[in-house]
Amino acid sequence: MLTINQLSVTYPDGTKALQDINLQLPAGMVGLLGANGAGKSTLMRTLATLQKPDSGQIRFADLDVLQQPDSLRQQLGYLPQYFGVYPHISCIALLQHMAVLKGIHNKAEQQQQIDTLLQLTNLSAVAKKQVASFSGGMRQRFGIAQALLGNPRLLIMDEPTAGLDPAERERLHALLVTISHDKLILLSTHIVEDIENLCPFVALINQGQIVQSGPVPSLLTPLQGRIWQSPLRPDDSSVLLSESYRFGVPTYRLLSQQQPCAAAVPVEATLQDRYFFELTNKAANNVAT
Amino acid sequence: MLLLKLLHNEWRYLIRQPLLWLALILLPLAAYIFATGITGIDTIADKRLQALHMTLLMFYLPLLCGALAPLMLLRDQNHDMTELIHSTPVPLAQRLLARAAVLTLLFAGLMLIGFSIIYYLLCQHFGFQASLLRLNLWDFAFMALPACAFYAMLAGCLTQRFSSNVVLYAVFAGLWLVYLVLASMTGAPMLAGSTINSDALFNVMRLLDPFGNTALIALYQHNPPQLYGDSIFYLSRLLYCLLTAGLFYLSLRLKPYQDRVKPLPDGSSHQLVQQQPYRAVTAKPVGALQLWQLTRTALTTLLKQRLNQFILLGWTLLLGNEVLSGINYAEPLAVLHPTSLDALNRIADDVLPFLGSLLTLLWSYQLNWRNRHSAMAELIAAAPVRSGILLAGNMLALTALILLMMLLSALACLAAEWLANSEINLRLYPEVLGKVALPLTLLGALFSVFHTICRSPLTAAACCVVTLLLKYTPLSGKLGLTHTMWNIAGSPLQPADAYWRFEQSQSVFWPFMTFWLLLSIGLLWLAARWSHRSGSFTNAKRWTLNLSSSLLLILAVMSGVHLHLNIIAERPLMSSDLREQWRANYEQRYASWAAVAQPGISHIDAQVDIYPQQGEAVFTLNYTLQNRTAEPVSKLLVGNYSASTIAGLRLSVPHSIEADQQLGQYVLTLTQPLAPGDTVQMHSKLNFRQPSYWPAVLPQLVKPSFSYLRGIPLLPTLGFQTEYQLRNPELRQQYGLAPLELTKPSRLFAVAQGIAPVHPAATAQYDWVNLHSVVSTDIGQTPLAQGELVRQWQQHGRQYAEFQTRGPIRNALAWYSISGQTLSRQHGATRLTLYSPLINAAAELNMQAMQDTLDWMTQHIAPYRGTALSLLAMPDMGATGYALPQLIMINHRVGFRAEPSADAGFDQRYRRAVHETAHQWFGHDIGNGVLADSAFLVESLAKYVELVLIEQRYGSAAMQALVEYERERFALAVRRSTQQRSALVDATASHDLYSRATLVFAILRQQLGDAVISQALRQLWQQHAYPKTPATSMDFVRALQAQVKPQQQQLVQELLLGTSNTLLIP
Repeated sequence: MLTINQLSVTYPDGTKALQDINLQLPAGMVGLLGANGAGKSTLMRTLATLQKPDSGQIRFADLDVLQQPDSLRQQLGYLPQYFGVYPHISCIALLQHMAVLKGIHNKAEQQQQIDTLLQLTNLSAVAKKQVASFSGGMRQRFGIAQALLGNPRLLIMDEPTAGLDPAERERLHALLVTISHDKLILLSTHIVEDIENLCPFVALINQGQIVQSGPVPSLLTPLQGRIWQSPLRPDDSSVLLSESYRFGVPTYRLLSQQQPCAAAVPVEATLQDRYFFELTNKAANNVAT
Repeated sequence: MLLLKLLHNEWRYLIRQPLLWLALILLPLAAYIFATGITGIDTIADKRLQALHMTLLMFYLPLLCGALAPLMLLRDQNHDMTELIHSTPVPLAQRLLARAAVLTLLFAGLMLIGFSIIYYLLCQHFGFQASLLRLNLWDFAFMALPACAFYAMLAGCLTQRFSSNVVLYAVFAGLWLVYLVLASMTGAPMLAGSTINSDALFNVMRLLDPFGNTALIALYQHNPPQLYGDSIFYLSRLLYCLLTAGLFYLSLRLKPYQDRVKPLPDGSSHQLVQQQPYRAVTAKPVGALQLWQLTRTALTTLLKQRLNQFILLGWTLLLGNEVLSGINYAEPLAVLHPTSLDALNRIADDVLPFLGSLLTLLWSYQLNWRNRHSAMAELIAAAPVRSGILLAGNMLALTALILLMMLLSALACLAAEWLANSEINLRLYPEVLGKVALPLTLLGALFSVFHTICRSPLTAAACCVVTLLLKYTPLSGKLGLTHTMWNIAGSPLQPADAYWRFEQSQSVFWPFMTFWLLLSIGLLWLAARWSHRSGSFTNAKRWTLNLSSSLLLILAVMSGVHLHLNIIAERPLMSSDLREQWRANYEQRYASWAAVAQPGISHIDAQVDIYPQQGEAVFTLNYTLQNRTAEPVSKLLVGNYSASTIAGLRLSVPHSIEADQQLGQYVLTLTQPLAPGDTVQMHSKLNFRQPSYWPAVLPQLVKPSFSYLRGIPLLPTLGFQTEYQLRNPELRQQYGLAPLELTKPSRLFAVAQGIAPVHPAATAQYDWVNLHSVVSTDIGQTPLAQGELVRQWQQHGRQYAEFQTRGPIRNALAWYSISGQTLSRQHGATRLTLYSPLINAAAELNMQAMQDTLDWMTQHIAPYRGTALSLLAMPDMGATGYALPQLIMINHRVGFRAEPSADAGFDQRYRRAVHETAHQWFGHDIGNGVLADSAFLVESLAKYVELVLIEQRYGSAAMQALVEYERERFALAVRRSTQQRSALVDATASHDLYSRATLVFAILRQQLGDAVISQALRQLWQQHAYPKTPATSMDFVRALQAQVKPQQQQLVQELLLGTSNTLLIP
């Protein structure tokens, strides 16, 4: 549905934010996973026509995005990582404002969709309150509501669950999964669990380059049978993928062809293992060997 | 120790800020521009230095503070670092002290740089003087330092309460403006036209002036001026130091202003309820609906802001007060019965355009950057709205705000009119305010273009500020950008006048507006293409042109070129630079003609056909030239100094002509030289066409309501014209001309026979001619010229009149076509006629003044030479009165509409009419013919006649009121003056020629009596009246000295030839 060819973006200070990105993304939910500063937001902003690439092509369905940005915007729902709101304006009024800008002029349809979105984002009770007075989570939900206005075929959401409490997060997940059938929902986050839960397709980005992309199971297959979990830190040839704590007790996840130590038990590979694996060059070399 | 470390820390932050470096460029530039306005070699250097320091402080310190204070004091709030900074262990007192101290040092450093540049430039001009350096440092220590500390601490105090940059901008812009208004009301020498409106205010300002300017100005009337302050000055400085400390104390106790918007608790229910399913809605963007929505939201958002509500309320009150405070003002001691035009004129020409421009800048900034400032930019930019619609929405909202501004102005004006019992004419409101609103909207369009194209708000704001500086300050002139089109988004439209409404300049408005409109549309179109979509986003189309943008820009450029060509075609010497160049070229090419014998003009026969509706006048001229020299004349230099070219030039004897088209000069070579005493006829034609791309100006204009064609410098002259020479020594040097020996009249004419003209050919002779005129104009108008009306008739649908002078008159000729009513009276042998739109009581008073002056002058000095004397009401074009031989013009507003105010001790109308009538003797009888003499014989002696006749008609109290009025004006002018004082007979400054002369003659009348002065004047006439040798100012001094007793000689000497003011200002 979305094809990106040789996309590069360089900032005026010389930072290469994106380097020769090539991606083919299907309809449905797609996760974009990467560390802070990996280039996720730059890629999102470029796809949302807010940033000009140095080179490359972007096609959405039959549309040349870089040549026809206005046409893409008619099919776009966009939730940036950070955004603000106008002062002195209520939530419903600001949604109406955005609806008109997006081209929803039929009053009845506009009202009905706004009511639905307010309910879906749990904002009905505060619809007439000033958005400027909203808490962080409420404001984030307003952002989600405005992104869903109209009939967006491409939804770009940069950290959509930031600031949401667990219940709201679940509610958003349910909503996104429900509507994702005929759309491309590009979800950028560094919360691996969210992507694992929602996205059948994922792209891993590191230092401005796509290091892996594809259906999640295909990314996990190379690691299956090689992931170990141990309460002790390994000592030899195994690769330490992550170190986490549970009730203050450390737990290590390791990549190794054989059992690294007696305490290690084999576990199923997760997307997080793959993510940490890709972050480590050394591991990349190991995979290559 | 901690404080020192904090100061160092602050400094390290500050030097990384681009705004600081911008200030480091702009302030020295401003100082340079101020200081390069040095004129006159006898300027008082130290007073000028201090006046320039005052100017720099009052004009730049508040603005500097407004611009830089947020950088230092609001940086935590602006960059979301408040919690990080406030959680450090540095106490508030030390943090605030460190920041305010660094800000003070920064302002002080910038001011020291500015002061030093001014000092350096003055030293370049006057040479190094240690006293100047001492004064420079003293000014810095006592004027600048306390003010810098006070302003920095005031900003610190404000930021403890308010966390918005805009509040600081508004407060310091307000302080800047309020100070300028107060300075103009307390006679600040730096502001043109400022006077002391109230002694109480002046005395209060001596203490409360933040810069100490007023306290110093109060000492300027001493001779020599006292520049180092008095006890009140030092008290004022101490007061501001204490205020600074008080503000610091207050800052520590202020609580930050809490925004009324309290965060809402997230009361969302987490219960799982049956939800409606998400249903997509078809969206199809419609530009018009998007535009309406964007405009509506932008407008409501801005109008809901407290700052804008405060500004609009303040605006209405300010304008209402401005109108009400001067709605009936005509001139000092005179008031009008006000009309809507007077009310609107109070604001439409200065306050409204200037303050409106500042508001337009603020609103355009708020509109165009509000998406970025509210962090909505990405949401809006990702929406399917075309950039052009975004821009158009902002532009429409801005236009609506400007219209709201006009509406509030109109309401304020109407309220003031109602309170002042004015004659309300509602139809004038849209006409006058519309002419302000359109340029403001076009200026707003240019601002929007900057905001839309520039991705940095700072760059965009800088472009807007430069535009305003070019438009409203002398910066463009200093940079040599003198073209009328540098009045960006403006036109040279002049204020409407009750005499002829907008007739003076109506024709200029639409040509200029059309150009700016086309340019604005072209640039807006381009900006929409290059837009950063209100969020500083990159744009692939940036710096590329498409067909439509190119076509629109080409159209705008073509319109600009067309306008420019018309402007220069109508007035080739449109700027002072070009006029100076013409004069320099003229002198370089033709100065040698000063030594060439030339005939004089003895008779002029003029046929003048005036076409008021077409704006045209055709002259057919026949000169009789007479060789009054002792040698034969073989070559004539004929020329004029006008855009109207001399045509059909020929002599009645065989000759050849060589034309200098560039300077409009012709050299005529006679086949047979003209022998001494012989005459020759010279024929020429001139076609004057009223410029339509320039406002009508004196001394030549042809308009439907009023046409006036003065002969100088339109008509052909003979020989080299000394008065065209550049006199300014620096300009002469700049154009490579030799210095002029400009000896003061008191020295040049110290001996009776010592008349030595500046130029050998400029012989001290009367240039008088006999004049015969036939003037024609449209039916319904009155043709007028100097001389007696011989006959009048109608022919070919036109009105004709023939005039003939009884004898020679001074060669300062004029022809008119006027409409309106006539008041005519035979007074002795003289026919007095008065022309005015309405013959009212003021017209009768002017007639009375003419009669009184004729009677007194005839009885005490000399009879009037002519048989006719006309007085015309003229439109308000700057001059309040002007006299030509046998003709007087008096400004309709002050001469015919005004009446004395309740506190007036004398009648300005009568005074002015007497003054102008007196010029028939002082100026057009004697006081001409000697170019090197000053204007003492002309203006100062006319002031003497004012005193005599006001006392004669209204009594000594009225005369004394005039003396006190002039004394006040003189004291104020002396404070403002940066010129070395000179003797009254040498003086060139108007406050000397008029006010000082009044005071001098009041003393002379009191001490010597009118009989003595009259006797001296009669002697002057006996010895110097035409056709004898022309009189000089020193001839009058000698005549007066011959009449007075030995013990009075010292008084005459001191008043007329001395430079002290001790007898004049107590």
